[in-house]
Amino acid sequence: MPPNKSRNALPQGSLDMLILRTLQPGPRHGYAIARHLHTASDALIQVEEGSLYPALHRLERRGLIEAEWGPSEANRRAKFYSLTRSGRKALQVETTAWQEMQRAIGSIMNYRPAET
Amino acid sequence: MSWNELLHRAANRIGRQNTPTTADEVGDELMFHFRKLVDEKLAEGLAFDAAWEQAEAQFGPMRRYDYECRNGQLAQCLKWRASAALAILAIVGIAGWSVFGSRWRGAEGEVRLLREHVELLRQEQERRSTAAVSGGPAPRIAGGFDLTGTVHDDQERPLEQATVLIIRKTWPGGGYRQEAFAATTNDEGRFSFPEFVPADDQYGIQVAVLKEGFAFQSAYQLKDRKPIERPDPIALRLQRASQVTLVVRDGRGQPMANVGVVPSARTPPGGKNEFIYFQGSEQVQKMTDAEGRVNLNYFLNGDQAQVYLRLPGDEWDRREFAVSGDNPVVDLATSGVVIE
Repeated sequence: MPPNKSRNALPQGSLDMLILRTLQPGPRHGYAIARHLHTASDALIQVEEGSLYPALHRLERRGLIEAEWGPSEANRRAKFYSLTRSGRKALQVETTAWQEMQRAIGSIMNYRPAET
Repeated sequence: MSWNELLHRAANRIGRQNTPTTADEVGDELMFHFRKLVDEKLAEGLAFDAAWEQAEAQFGPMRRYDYECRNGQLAQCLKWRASAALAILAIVGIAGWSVFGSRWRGAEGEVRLLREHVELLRQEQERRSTAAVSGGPAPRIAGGFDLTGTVHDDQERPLEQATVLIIRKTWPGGGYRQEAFAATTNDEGRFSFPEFVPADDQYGIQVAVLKEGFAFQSAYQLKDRKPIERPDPIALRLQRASQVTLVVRDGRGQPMANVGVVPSARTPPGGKNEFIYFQGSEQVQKMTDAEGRVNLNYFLNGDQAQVYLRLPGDEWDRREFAVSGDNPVVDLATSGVVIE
C-alpha cells in the first residue's frame, strides 16, 4: 500500500533510536526493519522505506551497528545489521532520554492549574 | 577481489569500520529491499505494473537514497584521511580516489542495475503468469492457420535436430495469453504446427532456433490488422558459431558448479538483435561442470551476448559479455551469491 499522507511522519531525529530498538532482539536486514516499524506502529508511522538506508549507514559509521552480508529467507543475498556494544549503550541512553521527554511533555499537556 | 575492493577493505579496517561498503553493495542492498516490496505486492495479487508503482511509492526516490548512502561513505573516508599517518596517506589517497571513482560510476551503475532488475522482474512475472512449455503437440485452434518453417546453414544445407522455441501470443476475448512451445526440425530442416494461430483474431509469434555449433537466430511476426493474414513461412539461415566457454564464479571468485545457463540474446556488430524468450528457454539450458565451465556454442565472434544464469535457490541472474576471438573463455562473476 502506498504511504498514506494522513499518517504520522516520524519526529525529527527519532529514526535512529527506532532502528536501534528494532535491532535489539537480533540481526535484521533493512526490509525486515521496515516491516517491523510498520507492524509495531500499527501502520501509523509513515516513513519512506528508502530513508532507512542513509540512517543505517550513518549508524554503522558511528559504530553503533555492524553489518554482515548473508542469505535472506528466500536465499537472496542481503545485508544484516546488528547492534554493537556501543549501540546497546546508546540505545539505553536514548530510551531513558525519550522516556523523560515523554513524561515531561505528558506533564505539560495534562497540566491543570490548582484551583484557588 | 578487485584492487578497488581491497583498498576499500584496507581503508575501512584501519579506520575501524566493521564492514566495507562498495558502491555496488549499496545498489545491491537497496535493490534487495525494492525487489522484496515488489514481490510482496505481487503476492497480494496486484498486476506487475501496479506492484511496481506501489513499491516505488513506498520506497521513495531510489537515486536520492543511493546518493546519500555513498555520500556518507565519501565524507567518512575524507575525514579519516585527514587524520591518518603520513606513511599510509598514499594508500588512503588511492582508496579515496577509488571511492570517488565508484561514486562517479555509481549513478550510471544504479540506472543499469535498475534496468536489469526491471527486466528480470518482468521476466519472472511473465514466467509465473503464462503456460509452461508444451512437451507434446501444441493445442490446435480450430480453423486456424498453420505455422511452418525451415532451418538451413549458410551453405543452404538443411539443419536437422535444431531446437525451435516458439512463443504464441493471442488475445482471446480481449484478454492476453502467451504460451511457449518447442519443436525439433526434421531431416529436411522443416518444422510445422498445424492450426497454430487464429484466422480471425490478432496474434504474435516469436520463433528462436538453436543448434549446437551455430549462432542462434530469431524472428517475430505480429498480425493485428483485419483481415488477419496467415503467418509468413519462417526461413532461417544459421552461421557457424564460435566455441565459447563460460566460467561462472561466485562473489569470492570460486567456480560454481550446477549453474543453469541459457542463451538470452545476441547482437552482431551492426546487425539486428536476436532474442530467446525466457519462457520456455529451459529446453536449451546447460549446466556448469565442477569447474564452473560450460560450452555455449551459440554466438558469433563479435557478438554482444546475453545469458541467464540459474543460481542456487532458483535465483536468476542476467549477464552480458562480448564474444571476442575464435575460442574465447569468458569469466562471469555473479555478484549476488557466495557458496559457503
